[in-house]
Amino acid sequence: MFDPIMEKLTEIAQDAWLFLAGLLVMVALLGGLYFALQGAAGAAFGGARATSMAILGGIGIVILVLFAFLVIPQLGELLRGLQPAPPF
Amino acid sequence: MSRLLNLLMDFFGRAWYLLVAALFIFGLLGLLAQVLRSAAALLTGSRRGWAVALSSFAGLIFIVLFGFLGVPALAAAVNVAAASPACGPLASIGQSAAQVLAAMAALRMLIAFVRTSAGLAAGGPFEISAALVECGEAVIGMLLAVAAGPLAAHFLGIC
Repeated sequence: MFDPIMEKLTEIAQDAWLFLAGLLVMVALLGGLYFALQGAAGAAFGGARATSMAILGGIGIVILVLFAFLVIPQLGELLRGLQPAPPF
Repeated sequence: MSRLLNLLMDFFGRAWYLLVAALFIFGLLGLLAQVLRSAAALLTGSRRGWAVALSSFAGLIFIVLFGFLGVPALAAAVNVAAASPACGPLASIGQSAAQVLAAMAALRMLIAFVRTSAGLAAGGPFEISAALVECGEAVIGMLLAVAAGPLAAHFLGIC
């Protein structure tokens, strides 16, 4: 009885995962562009603080994307191993 | 009677596996959603959004871990309480009913955590307190239901 629900849930979850991952890539690309523009403008007009903030922001975006694509699947593997059997 | 109990327990067991899988799926999707939220907060310079995303991320891990480790332990404790010796002519029915009630309490606790993690994955507010309150309600209700039978039997002088 629960197998069709499980299959449908897995299917929806895979679609949602792909959607979220794609959205994250898009946000990261736009963010990278934004920080590159901010850094270029800062460098052009002598804004050292703006340039350094842009560099830090770009690094932060890269770290976030790496975290999402490397750490979360590992967390998933860890949690998959902890799935409990029915206690009754 | 035993066949009916086995059927019910099998049904509850399948429901348990479905709920565990749902908690796992919603937990992972929620983690990815929180990372996305923190990336958006980083871009827009929202410190509050960043803090909310980080706290929700940690809370989601806590919810999934509690659902996977805490709920089975609570359910096992309730099962032990339900297995207390019964007496009287309806002892076996009472034992079976207690087992069914324990299974339903375990499922209810798990449902509360699934609902919380699904809400977080969909971008809702972080409401772990509601899930914990529901857990407490389930355990207390279960213990009261288990205690009602023996108390009534003693009161009526059956055993």
